Amino acid sequence: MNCTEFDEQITPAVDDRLREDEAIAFRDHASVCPACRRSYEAELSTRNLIRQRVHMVRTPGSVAASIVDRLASERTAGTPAIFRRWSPSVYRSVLAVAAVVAAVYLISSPGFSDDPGFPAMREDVFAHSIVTYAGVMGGQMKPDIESAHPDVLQAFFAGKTSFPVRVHTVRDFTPVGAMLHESGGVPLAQVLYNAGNTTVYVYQTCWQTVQDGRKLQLPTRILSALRSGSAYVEENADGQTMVLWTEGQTLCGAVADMHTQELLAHLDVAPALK
Amino acid sequence: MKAVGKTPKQHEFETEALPHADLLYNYALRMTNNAADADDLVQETFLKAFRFWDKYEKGTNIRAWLFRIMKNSYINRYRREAKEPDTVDYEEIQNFYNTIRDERSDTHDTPESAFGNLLDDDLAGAISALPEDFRTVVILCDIEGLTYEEIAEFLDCPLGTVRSRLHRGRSLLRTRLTKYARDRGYAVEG
Ligand SMILES: [Zn+2]
Repeated sequence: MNCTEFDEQITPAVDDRLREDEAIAFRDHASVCPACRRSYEAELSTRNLIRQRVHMVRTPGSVAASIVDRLASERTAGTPAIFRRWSPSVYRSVLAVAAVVAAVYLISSPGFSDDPGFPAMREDVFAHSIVTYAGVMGGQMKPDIESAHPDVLQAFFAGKTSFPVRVHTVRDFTPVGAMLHESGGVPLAQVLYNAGNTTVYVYQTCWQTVQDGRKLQLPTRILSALRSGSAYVEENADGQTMVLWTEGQTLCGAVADMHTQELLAHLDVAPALK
Repeated sequence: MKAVGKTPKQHEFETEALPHADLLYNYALRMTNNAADADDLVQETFLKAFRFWDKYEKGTNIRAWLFRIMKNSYINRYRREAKEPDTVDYEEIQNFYNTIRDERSDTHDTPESAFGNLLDDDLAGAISALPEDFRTVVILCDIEGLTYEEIAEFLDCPLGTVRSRLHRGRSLLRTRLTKYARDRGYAVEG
């Protein structure tokens, strides 16, 4: 064994991976070549230092818990569902709505925008609500309560959230159901309205928590519009619209497969519009 | 999300994939050097894995599969915004090697006690300063305790590559740690 061959075997020797005959030749060379021996000892002591001083840490419990939590909301996304309760045209509109939300979302997340298979994973209010929405519409997840009576839905939310939840009046639309989920540990109140094949989806969550940005997030430009007291409206090229506005402690959002003026005509958010 | 039972897929995923969280988390932590980023990266990895669970071939190495998903996420997320990783200073290594191999040099044997005085931050700093390829094998082998074979599978590279990266990685680490020890005045000779 020469010095070059020895050098190539230092790492496997340190990790005790040499065959017996290799180990013998290795030790023979080390015993007669102090330079090589020092190289071996240097790598051995470095490896030992790391092993002794740098330890594995446990994954924080909060991370594991959050993963489990998010798997539950993930499972409604992406799978071609069994559309038991809704017509195909409703499903198309759900997909369209999902598309506008995803588009807005991806625009605001440059780190992921070239990764179309994977919308960003933060506890984004939009992302979470649309996944839930698609799941409900797909029949995989039922509303917690189904009713056309606003006061029944209103009663369902009573006492369940730290922020006021209101069952809005959506002109020409009838409420069909409501549900309460959590996103990042914060309640997300949702109400669905229908008129023919068109659906309006309204969600509400804690405005303070969204502003605070730790558990729930919104893209900055939307946040700043809302902070200035305006409603935020965005329509994509396909005529799908999303409106966000605040009512005291509550952040409200409405999504539908409609043009801006059309959706606004159905919503009672005039005070927030400028 | 409340009030909904677990699906079989969810149950299977939680049983088969989630137990490997520590493997991913420690790698993420050493690669990002930041607990919050590591949290995000691990969560993102598991959510992606869950979405593509049907693509996972049962019976193959699930750790390698998860690791590749994480590595891609890491690259997408951090590499573009991160400064170029330290270029490998081969000259630095070479000089160090020449020094260590020269028995007449007073600096060849930095006393091990000098390394013992190094702070945990020094060790973490020296690891995080390694170029990515070398850092990866050092983390997987010397911190996470994986075999060469498993690392080769993770990285989809030959065993010889694992060995040579580990050799270089440890040498670079040694060089950095020696420098830290000197800067702190622990070593005999400066
Ligand atoms: Zn030699």
